[in-house]
Amino acid sequence: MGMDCSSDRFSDNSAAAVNDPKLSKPLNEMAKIMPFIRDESLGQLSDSAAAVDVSANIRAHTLAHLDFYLEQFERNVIAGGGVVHWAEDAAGANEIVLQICREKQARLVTKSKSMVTEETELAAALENAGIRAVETDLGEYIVQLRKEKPSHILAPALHVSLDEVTDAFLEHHKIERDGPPETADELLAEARQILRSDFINADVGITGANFLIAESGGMVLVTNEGNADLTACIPDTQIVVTGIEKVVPTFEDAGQLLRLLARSAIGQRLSNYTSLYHGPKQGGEFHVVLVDNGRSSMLGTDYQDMLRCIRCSACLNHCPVYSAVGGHAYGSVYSGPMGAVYTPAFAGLAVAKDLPNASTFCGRCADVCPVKIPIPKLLRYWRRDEFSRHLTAKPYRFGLRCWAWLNRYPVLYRKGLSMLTRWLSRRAVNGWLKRLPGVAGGWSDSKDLFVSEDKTFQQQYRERQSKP
Amino acid sequence: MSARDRIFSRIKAAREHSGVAYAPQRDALETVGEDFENPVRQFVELAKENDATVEELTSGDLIEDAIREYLDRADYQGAVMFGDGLHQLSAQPGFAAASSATLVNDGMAYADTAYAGLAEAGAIVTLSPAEGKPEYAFLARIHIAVLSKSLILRDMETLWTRLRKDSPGQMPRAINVIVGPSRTADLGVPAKLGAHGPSAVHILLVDE
Repeated sequence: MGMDCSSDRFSDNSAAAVNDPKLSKPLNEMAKIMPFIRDESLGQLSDSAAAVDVSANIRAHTLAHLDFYLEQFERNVIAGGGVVHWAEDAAGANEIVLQICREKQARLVTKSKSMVTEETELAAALENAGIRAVETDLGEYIVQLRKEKPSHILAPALHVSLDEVTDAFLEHHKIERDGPPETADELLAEARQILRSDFINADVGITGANFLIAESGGMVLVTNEGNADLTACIPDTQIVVTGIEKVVPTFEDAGQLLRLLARSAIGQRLSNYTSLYHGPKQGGEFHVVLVDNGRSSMLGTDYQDMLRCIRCSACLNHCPVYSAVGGHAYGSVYSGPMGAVYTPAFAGLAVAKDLPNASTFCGRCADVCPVKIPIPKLLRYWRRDEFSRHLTAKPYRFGLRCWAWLNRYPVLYRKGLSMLTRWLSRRAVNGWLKRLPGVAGGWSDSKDLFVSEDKTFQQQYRERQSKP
Repeated sequence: MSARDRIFSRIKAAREHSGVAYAPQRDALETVGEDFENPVRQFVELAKENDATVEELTSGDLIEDAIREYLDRADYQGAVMFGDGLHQLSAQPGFAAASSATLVNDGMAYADTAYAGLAEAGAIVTLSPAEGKPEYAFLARIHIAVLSKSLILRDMETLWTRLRKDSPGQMPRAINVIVGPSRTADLGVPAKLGAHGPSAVHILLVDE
């Protein structure tokens, strides 16, 4: 599908990430703060559970009638003076954008954050064509200077320290200054100064879209920085690159989703800038590039529900695995639980098969999803597909077969488990096992196992039930 | 077969496989928002919570003085650009005119009337002007918005209804819902104000 993916290195990447103290600090902070502010802001709604139900229904309804709403959206964009392009894959999307830029003889393009253009690697395609592409979201700008990928869909530079931002600015900003920018205020002032001239001089502005409104042919952009509006308003030519699943029927549908988007993402009622754009500016051009890149193939399959996603990142912010390893370990544009479902669909299960297994199945991702995507269920489907397509490693398949065999003989299963429990119990110190034997050793590298009794759960349960 | 045709054929096949009709039918959407009693009070509280400043004026005659006094208090001596709704103030003495250089040098305040206020978020709503450029509100260091109390709408549903009524057939090119100053958390928390857009948003709330 054209998405740069190194998810096959997840095991090594995550092992390195989990031992990286520089990474664990921002991840721990995020894991501590985000659930609190999300819960508080959802609590402002008169009935947050009903709001989630309504939002989930909006997305499910739209996907069920996607061709109807896309055609309606297309008609209205054209009626408003815009042009709609269709791209089946990443290469097709990039070529459409490049063609428009060539026609405009563009030398400088400003971009606001768009996960779809990350999927298609549009910035690199523009640079290869000799067009300077500047990411204008501050976090995206920082990772662009550092030649990295975003590590979080909303906070792309979550993994970068202030010192590292200073280093990046010193290397890339050729300006006179009294001293190196060190504080957040100084760094922000410098970024503002540098990006301002790019905003003003850009030939073409490229944005994503949070939602597309079928009834009017409008698109919704949400940011806190205001960079998307500068990108959309200043150049004469605006190109919107987004996925086909982003369409919603009406303004009311978009409004309901916006209420949950900002609350789930950053604990705000609305983001600082929520903007709707219709058609070209006076004398300008307005192009919408609708990208499939694997999405239509998810329709009508077990994975269709994933297309409800509104990219709020609540599942990342609440995930114990993401909080331990960060986004880069996933080796994909999309990380965390949503990335573990999306990446196999977009990049192929063979390369991304480890991601659906990177889950504790605690279910928090499903609990906090504002559109009720049953992420653990979808991860199980990928595990099922991995096994049925013989992509699972041989020792793992052997282990699963043994387990399945043992489960067919309950007496033998209970006896074996009882022996194992007693054996582990004898090796525990004060009830704790520091190291598990054999292939289970990796599990105990980062945690201890509590073995409270020398009896299995079932034995203890029976004993307690038999007590009067 | 074009890319468009191939995409639609896959979507159609999936829909038909699921036994779903092309034309959608659904009950009227019942959206869920916040309960609050007084939209004006809610607007003011939330605007302040989002780092905007709000000044209440008893009359529109006080707008010019209020702008001057606010800029004085902010110790701001740069250029001031007025939008369509306040264009008559451009000719008043004492306001330095903006130029392309002031835009590049980040030395501009922008003042205009707002289309509406949104109580549920403490937001101002602006539309792309017939003349002038919507980007001025985003390029300015300071954004001053004049809003009549009667234009404060309860929620987004009310805003959509009003937009449909005011702009039948074709929506304005830009509808911007702005909650306080521009901010970023990309350099850590707490978020910093003035990322690319204004670092200050001052709302003059007029009684009439």
